[in-house]
Amino acid sequence: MDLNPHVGRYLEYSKMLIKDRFVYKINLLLMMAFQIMSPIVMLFVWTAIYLASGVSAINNFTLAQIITYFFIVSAMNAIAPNTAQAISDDIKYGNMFGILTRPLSYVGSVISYAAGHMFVDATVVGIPIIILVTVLMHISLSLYTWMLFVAAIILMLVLSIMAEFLIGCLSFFFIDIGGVATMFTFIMQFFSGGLIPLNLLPHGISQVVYALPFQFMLYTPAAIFTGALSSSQAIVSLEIGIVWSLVFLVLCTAMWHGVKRHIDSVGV
Amino acid sequence: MEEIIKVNKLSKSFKSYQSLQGKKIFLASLRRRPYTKKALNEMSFKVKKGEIVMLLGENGSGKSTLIKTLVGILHPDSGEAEVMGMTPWKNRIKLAWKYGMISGAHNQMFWNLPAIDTFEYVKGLYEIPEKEYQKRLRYFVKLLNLEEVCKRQVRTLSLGERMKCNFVSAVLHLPEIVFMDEATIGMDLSSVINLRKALLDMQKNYNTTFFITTHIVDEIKALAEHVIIIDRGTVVFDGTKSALQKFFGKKKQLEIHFGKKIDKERYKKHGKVVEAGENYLKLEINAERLKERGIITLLNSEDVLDYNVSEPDLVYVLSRFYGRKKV
Amino acid sequence: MAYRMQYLFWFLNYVLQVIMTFIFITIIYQVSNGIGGWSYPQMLLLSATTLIVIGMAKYFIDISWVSQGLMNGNFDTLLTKPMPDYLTFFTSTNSSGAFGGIISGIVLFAYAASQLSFNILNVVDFAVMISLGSVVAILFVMVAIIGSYSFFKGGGWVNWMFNIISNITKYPLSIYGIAGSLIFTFVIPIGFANYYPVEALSGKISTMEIAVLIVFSLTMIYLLSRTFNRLYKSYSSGMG
Repeated sequence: MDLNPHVGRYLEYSKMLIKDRFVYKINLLLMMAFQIMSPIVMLFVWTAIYLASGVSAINNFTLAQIITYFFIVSAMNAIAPNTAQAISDDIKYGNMFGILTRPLSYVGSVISYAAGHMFVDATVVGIPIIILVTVLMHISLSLYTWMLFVAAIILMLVLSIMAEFLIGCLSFFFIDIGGVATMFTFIMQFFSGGLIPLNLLPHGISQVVYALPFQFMLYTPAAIFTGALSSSQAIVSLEIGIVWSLVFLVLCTAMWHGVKRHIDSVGV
Repeated sequence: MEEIIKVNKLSKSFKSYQSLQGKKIFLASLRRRPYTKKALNEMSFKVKKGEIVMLLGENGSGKSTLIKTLVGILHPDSGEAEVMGMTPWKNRIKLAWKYGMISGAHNQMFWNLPAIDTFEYVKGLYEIPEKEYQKRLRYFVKLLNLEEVCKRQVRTLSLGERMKCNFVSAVLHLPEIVFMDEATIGMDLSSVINLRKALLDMQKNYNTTFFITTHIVDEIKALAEHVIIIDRGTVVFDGTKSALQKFFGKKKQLEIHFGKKIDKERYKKHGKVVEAGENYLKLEINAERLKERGIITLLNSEDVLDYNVSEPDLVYVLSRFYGRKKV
Repeated sequence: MAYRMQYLFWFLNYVLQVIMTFIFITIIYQVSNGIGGWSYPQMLLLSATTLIVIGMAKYFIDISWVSQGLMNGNFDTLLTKPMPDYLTFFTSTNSSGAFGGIISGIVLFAYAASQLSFNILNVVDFAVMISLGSVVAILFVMVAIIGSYSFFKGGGWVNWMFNIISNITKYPLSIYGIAGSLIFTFVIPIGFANYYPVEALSGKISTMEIAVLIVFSLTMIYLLSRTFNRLYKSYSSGMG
């Protein structure tokens, strides 16, 4: 297959990043272990909560569902790339030099970076967690639900990359955005259901949260998988998510134009 | 011969901040004063295809800024530049196919992987055919003694080994022009000599142009055909090596260590006193005068413990160009 | 302080962590009867103590910076300075924002404590145990960093591990069963820094148990110090 040379270049770059990540295999395995620990902690916490409450469901969420939910959230967190920090490091530590002195566009290299990391994290962490929880919790989804779940993951990745890109681009103006990126991650974790399922939030807060795009980053795939969202609700949700993707695309395009104008005046 | 680089009144400034010092360190770090540094100041020059150009200048003179502007990483405030017929900052990616870049300050290898992996990456990136790639790789690896080095993780390599690998990764695609910004730092003498051989081979066989920044005078003598000296962002000398050599080629520096205190005035008749201490003297002297009886007698005298004849150092050469340093 | 805005953001990040913890616990206690027999103020107290201890550990040690420095050889710049080995881990760059965690943790602690009553003996026990426990926690982090470098020549995961452990020990160790309690007491000894001091403050453990825990803390300090000194010798500069 003769790939368009433009794509071929970026595949080469992705390949190298994937190779780079597999160098310290122990680090990768340990990161996998720690990624699994997060939902295991939630398993103990929520088991204690349900035991203390003596109920089988809280806001229509059973204990099994909530445990499954947190495992899927953990898998999504693992797969979503940390592009903002990578962009910040490129500028702070001069790593951009190695990209800009090669025939690669910076945006292309960012996408390649994200693709490479997603591939590794999905292979080593994300997919094994999904398989593990499917087997342990005896999950049986229809093919249609699996397709909706995969579509939700793709939407999650697209939105995450764009959101991270927006934050990361701030590095062109402020150099060190570690604090901003981390703050965004915290806020995103809360509003996307990473801390607590969105359907357990008090009514007033949940109304605000459902109006924001963050729900598609963690809550939507996890809710589809656990059945908290029916198929018809999932379709509507995904449609709204696609609209948000277009909004983010416009924002990213505008941001990149701003960055290029800034670079035009001062360079990198 | 065709001009491959054309620079016309290129200017570039950087804005930064100085921390104001004060007794209370914490508060002092909160007070900053902006300052502007003019890195390039209406710089103009041309480079012909196939030339080896040496760019000389002290630290902070604008060498790296110039190179980064010529490869399109930095955008100038004003002026024009053309590299291979393209404006660098407008055609960065298109230009990047055709040049190679090595910088002593930036590593371009994948840190956790063996160097050979980066070479493979370059092969894929620039679509070098496998046979050609193997041929070029064999050549450079043998020349720079990298047979075992290139199989090790880059992070475990010494600085010199890394620079050699950086060089290979920058030239594997046989670019038309190679920018080298302090690319020989950390290299041992035999590697430097072999690197020079590679440069000259590439120039001869592929008409490759080399644009090299350095402050090692020996490199100028060995390689340069075209020398550009810059100071504070301005070109202060732009000419051939022979023109430069004409200036200091006939000059030598004679260092003499005496066994007793000396009066430097006594020795002014032999040459220009560049430096003098209690029992030490450095003279600038024409090469022919070394054979004169007066000098021979001086050097053979009992008072002389040791002496050394050398080329004038770069600081001295530069100072002669713009006379701002006291000698 | 060279990047002032960044310091502000890091400071706010740690404050945000505390706020998120508060929101999480508040929501949990609104929709359920709570966790492991701990009341709402007690749970806040435990979380606040954990966040204060984490804040202190991160304030003194920039885990990412030290781990990276060991791997890429930047640590050399500290070893050429005239300071004791353990202090080299305390010289860090971006961790000063953790002060935000300490301050906001104290605020949360004060809020939780205002809803409870303590006797003076419990307060003294708490002060002694948390002081010793914090030393244990900080030493444990240092050993984890240098151990990761010594055995795996890596360290990127230590920060992650510390964050996970912090999350784990924000909740009563009793919810993890006997095995979990033992692990987070003797294997990953963070329990000495938060859970047991808060249990002492809340009067949930006896004087004898407190005495035993203090002795264990001192033993852990001794063992961790020895381990650190031994592993520290394995550092070889990452740069060629």
